[in-house]
Amino acid sequence: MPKNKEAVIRYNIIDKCLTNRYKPFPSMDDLIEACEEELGTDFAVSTIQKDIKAMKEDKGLGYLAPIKFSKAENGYYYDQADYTIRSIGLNDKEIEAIEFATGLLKNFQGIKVNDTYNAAVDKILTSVKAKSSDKDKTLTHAIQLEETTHLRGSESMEKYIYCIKEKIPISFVHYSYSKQTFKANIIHPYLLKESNKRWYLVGYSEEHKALRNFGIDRIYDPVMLDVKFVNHDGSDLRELYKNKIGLNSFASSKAEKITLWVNDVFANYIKSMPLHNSQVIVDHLENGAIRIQLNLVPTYELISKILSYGENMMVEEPKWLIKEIVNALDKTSKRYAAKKRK
Amino acid sequence: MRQKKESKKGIIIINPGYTTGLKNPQLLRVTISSKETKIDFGYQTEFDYKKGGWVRIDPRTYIKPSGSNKKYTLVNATNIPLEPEQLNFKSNQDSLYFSLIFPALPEGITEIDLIETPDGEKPKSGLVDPNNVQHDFNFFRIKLTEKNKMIQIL
Repeated sequence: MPKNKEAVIRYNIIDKCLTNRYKPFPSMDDLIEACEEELGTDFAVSTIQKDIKAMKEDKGLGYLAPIKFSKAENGYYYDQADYTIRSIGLNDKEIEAIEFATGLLKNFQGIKVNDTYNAAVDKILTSVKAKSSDKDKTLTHAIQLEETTHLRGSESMEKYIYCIKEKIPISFVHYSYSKQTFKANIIHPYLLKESNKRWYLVGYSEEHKALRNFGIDRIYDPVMLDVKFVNHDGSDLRELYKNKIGLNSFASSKAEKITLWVNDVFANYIKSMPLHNSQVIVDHLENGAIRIQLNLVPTYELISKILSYGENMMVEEPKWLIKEIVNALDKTSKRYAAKKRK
Repeated sequence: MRQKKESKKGIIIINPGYTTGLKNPQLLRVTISSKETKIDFGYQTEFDYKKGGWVRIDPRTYIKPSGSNKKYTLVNATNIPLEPEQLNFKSNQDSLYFSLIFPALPEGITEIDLIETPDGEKPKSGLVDPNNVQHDFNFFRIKLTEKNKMIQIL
């Protein structure tokens, strides 16, 4: 690699260290270690010192980075909030696309990661000296999505994303709504999964010695750990959820055929927006009703979904699922009857 | 390559062993650093109380190395009020995660006791029931050096 190209990579590594708010005030040792890890070669203190000087003073480079050294923290920092040497050139079309996506993400109001996203977008737009115009406002107001309410635990989303990316295990306390117990556990996080407007942290659970998901609203006090990360086996985690509506398996984790009858009123709704990608229509019945088949791992969310259609949908197969639905409806009916008697 | 530096943030002990007369709350984690000692608890309200009862912590609560008389008194509490304040639950389905913060411990301590009400003293507040000594919020021989439970914090 040409010497000057390697120097530019080092500038970027130093910049990354100086803007990492999880490890502020990197020392000279930290900067050397980061460069060595990234580039796989040893560096002298004088090389990094020269890099810092160049980043600060070299007019040809043009960064004129406000790097300072803190004696109290024994480390370097940028003396200007949000400073970074990274800058991006975007054209008008790209800016418009980002602003449209920003409009979409307004749906996740209250989720910390969205604040970060907005700040990142602001930074990008500032870096290309683009200002939001009235036209842009029209663009972001062109769509309206269903609003989400604040989800407890969403303030740690940014930390989870960082830990997934940097492969950092997390100690956390989990509260089980069904068992009504607290447990301290360690997760090696791989994925943040959204389901029905709830977010789940998916990873290797040390308590279960297996892959598990934990609702972030039930996670308390996540703490990043300095311990070896247990990597996932490499298979695509998204495949795990391919045959599921929701995340929480009911009894078995094997996919099975589920046959549903849908009345004439709801048939078109189900045809225009299938319950799941595996949905096939197996029968068009004489009265306008349809019979559909799905190949799914039974989940609690599937049962809720079927119940949400009330009298308009009926399970025909498997038998155990018919029993579950009938039991749930029976309990509901009895509850209403008791209320009526009072 | 340089060796990894020791964590400045201390160690966390997950599900440490301890003895207590209480089923509830559960002692979940202990964090030991040069700055403080933090102990995390999970409390599930009980069916004996229609609305879940109440909780608070006596500000005189302290930790001490087991077998020693040196006390380290509570300096702060997160998510649980200090007496005379109290948190009234709204339902017996409510739960509470809370932490108690004590001064830093000297190095080499292997076990600590957590005492809300010292022996022979009538409880002034009590986490669950101030009139029932069996319910005193006391934990003994909390183990700080069990292998595989002590982990460096990043």
